[in-house]
Amino acid sequence: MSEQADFETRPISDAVWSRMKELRRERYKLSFEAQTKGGLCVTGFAWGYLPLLAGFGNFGNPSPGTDFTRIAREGSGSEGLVKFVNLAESNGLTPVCGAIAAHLGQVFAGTSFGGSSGNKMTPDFVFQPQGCHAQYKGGQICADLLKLPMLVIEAPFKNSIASRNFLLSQLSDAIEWIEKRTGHTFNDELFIEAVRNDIRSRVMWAKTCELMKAIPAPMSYRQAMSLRLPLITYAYSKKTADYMETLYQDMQERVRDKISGSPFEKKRLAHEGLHPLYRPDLLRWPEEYGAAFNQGEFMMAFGTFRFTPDGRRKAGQTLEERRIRLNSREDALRALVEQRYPPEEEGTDYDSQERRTLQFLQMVKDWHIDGVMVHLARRCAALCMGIYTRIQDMRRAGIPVATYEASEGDPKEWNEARVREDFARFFESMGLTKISSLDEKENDIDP
Amino acid sequence: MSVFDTIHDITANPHRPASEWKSKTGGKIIGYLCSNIPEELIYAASVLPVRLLGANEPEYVTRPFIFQSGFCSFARDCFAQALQGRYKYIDGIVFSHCCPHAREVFLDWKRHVPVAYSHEIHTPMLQQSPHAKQYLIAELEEFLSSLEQWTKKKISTKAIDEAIGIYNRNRRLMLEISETMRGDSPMLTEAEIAEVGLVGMLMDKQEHSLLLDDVLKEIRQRPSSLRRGPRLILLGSVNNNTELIKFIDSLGGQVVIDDYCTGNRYYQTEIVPEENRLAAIAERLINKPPCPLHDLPERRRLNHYVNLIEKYGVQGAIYTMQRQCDAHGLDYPAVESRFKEKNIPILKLELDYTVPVGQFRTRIEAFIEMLTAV
Ligand code: SF4
Ligand code: SF4
Repeated sequence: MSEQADFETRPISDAVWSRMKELRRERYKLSFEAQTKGGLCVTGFAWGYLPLLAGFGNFGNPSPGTDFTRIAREGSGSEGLVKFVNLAESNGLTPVCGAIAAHLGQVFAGTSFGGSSGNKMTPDFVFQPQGCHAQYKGGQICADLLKLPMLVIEAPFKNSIASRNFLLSQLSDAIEWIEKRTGHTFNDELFIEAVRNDIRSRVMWAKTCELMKAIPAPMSYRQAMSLRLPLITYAYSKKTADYMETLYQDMQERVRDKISGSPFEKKRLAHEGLHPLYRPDLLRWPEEYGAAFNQGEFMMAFGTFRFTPDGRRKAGQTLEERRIRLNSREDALRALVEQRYPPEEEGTDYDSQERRTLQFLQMVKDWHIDGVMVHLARRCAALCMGIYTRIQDMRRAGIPVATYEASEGDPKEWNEARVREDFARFFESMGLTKISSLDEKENDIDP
Repeated sequence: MSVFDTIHDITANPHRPASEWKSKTGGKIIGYLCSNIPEELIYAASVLPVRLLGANEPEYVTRPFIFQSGFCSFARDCFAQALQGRYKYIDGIVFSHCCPHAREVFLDWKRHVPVAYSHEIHTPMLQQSPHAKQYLIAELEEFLSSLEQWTKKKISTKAIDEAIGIYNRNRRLMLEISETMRGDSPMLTEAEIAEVGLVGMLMDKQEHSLLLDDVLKEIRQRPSSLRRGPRLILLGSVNNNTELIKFIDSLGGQVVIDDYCTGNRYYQTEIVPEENRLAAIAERLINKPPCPLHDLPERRRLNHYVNLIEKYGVQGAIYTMQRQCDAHGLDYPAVESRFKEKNIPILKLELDYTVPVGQFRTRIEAFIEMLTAV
């Protein structure tokens, strides 16, 4: 950096950073060992309701969606993600969501199910809990290609008694479905433990996200996106829940000592929408202008928050904090369902435009955000739904907003010069000037 | 004036029947965006349900409201019409949860072209779940009471029964007309049938059924056509553009059936009476031939296609996809492989409401030639 930093920065403590990497490696290893040790193996865009699978013991999920980490390392050129997107397209999948095309390209190529030790896995079924329309249909194609049965769990957007009952019945049927299809036995104790851990992990992450309100924020958005990784595939483990607590304590200390994730916060920015997963370095671009991304809904996506009617979010509570004991499978199922549909939020439509705007505006206030950069993801109807209206609302509320166009999963939609220019113009419009250049492109991140 | 003159007239003036209905009755009108709507409940509330359809509006109309790079041209076009003020007679808008493009239109409509009433039915996507019906019944109960609140009128069981009767009769008549295409010498064209069906979505079903009675009378009087050309099925994303069907026929094909949600799928299934009327309505919504988004984990649609192929003696298929329709785009490989299994060649076309169908001439001609040579 050519300018004296405004804030003291310090690397994330080893206890946290290395632990995150260990947990990732461990989950990866467990995933690839599971089948050889007689465990379940699934595939699908499966990030929710994993405690249900953990009730069957260690399970493999070698392809929880596109393996972006590996692909990001391989690069986004013709040798990386593009080749998978092309493969999907040549199999008739055009023009569909780029992320799904990238994932299905890997399934077509047969690269999704190999471990680093060379062992191949054959999933028992496709597990598709919740998700967008393209994930459901993408999971179904995967089931066709691999000739596997598919287990879908739907959780409607509206929090109502009917939604709760619908989800509860599906989850409870799912246990029997898996037992019948695979011959594996469900263990209530393991399930209860997994639910407890899952909730604790997510609540701790929500509390950590709340610490990002501090000025300076104790970690950068980019770091946050990496540090939350164990939550995505391993939240049900006690180790992850403990790690999340350590992370929280570490961040509390950093807040207390005013240690910043970024050297400058001349402007605190939010990134709206999921960034192009093959270009995580973009999350650090504001640093070149003395600014930082501190917030974004995707950072918080895997945390458990509760909302007040005015759109304010606050971290939820662990079962222990609420003094709730889970004594049976039914208790644990109900706790999982209430994670999704907290009774105190009954009547809420989680996908309502008004609600999303209200929450976003409140988030901008509470996290002290000065401007918002929006990723307009081409061919993603799900994340772009109502985006122009939300942008209008933000502008009306006086928030500086800029946009760039790309795609989460299809690097063919990436135009570096154009996106750079969109970012530069945004920074300059906020009165920022370029003070440095980042050393290198980083590519160590998962979705 | 023949019944078809009346039908063509409505096609040319699609907003007229509902506007006239409104000035005649003083009643309210609800527009809806997806065929999974319990129209019977709206009708029982003395409100006229009309389907919102595309009409080739220019793309720039929606540009300030919708991020277009990847947006369904059909859904965009429906919204464009609202922005152009063509739906001023609509008092309310109802949406049944389906794809995000259609949902965006629902949200944008509510926001930018405000209407007095709006409601979203959270139709379950996982309709194959044994618990979906129960969930949908609860959603219908909520819809019913929201309609009652809006119209300030209790909806009686008798009114629901009457509406069910009116809609079932309409479906039966449409099916009867469509089935005339099964023979070797149909007296109608599929474009005519599609048009007959489409106008029914824009007007009172009782009046439409009277038109259908006349259509059936006219069919009986028409000389049989002995048309030639490979018998085709049209399927894929929603499509209310009958020009495409005429165009395919003009190139030597013979479209005999479709599986559009604005076509055959709309009137395929009747409501079977049940003590609980909402349960009966829910049962139909769940059991009618599904759209791709509701067709999982099993692929039940494919069996429905096989039935249609056999029933209508289909020899070739044209899969039309609205630009950027993930739902149908992601279903294509499975559909293609089932058709191939049945030795039915299939051609995929990507439609765009702003582009005339003429651009497909060479591909369709080549496809028909290939089928004719077989
Ligand atoms: S990019 Fe959009 S459409 Fe594709 S999987 Fe993600 S949310 Fe769904
Ligand atoms: S055509 Fe496809 S994308 Fe368009 S509204 Fe229908 S399902 Fe959605």
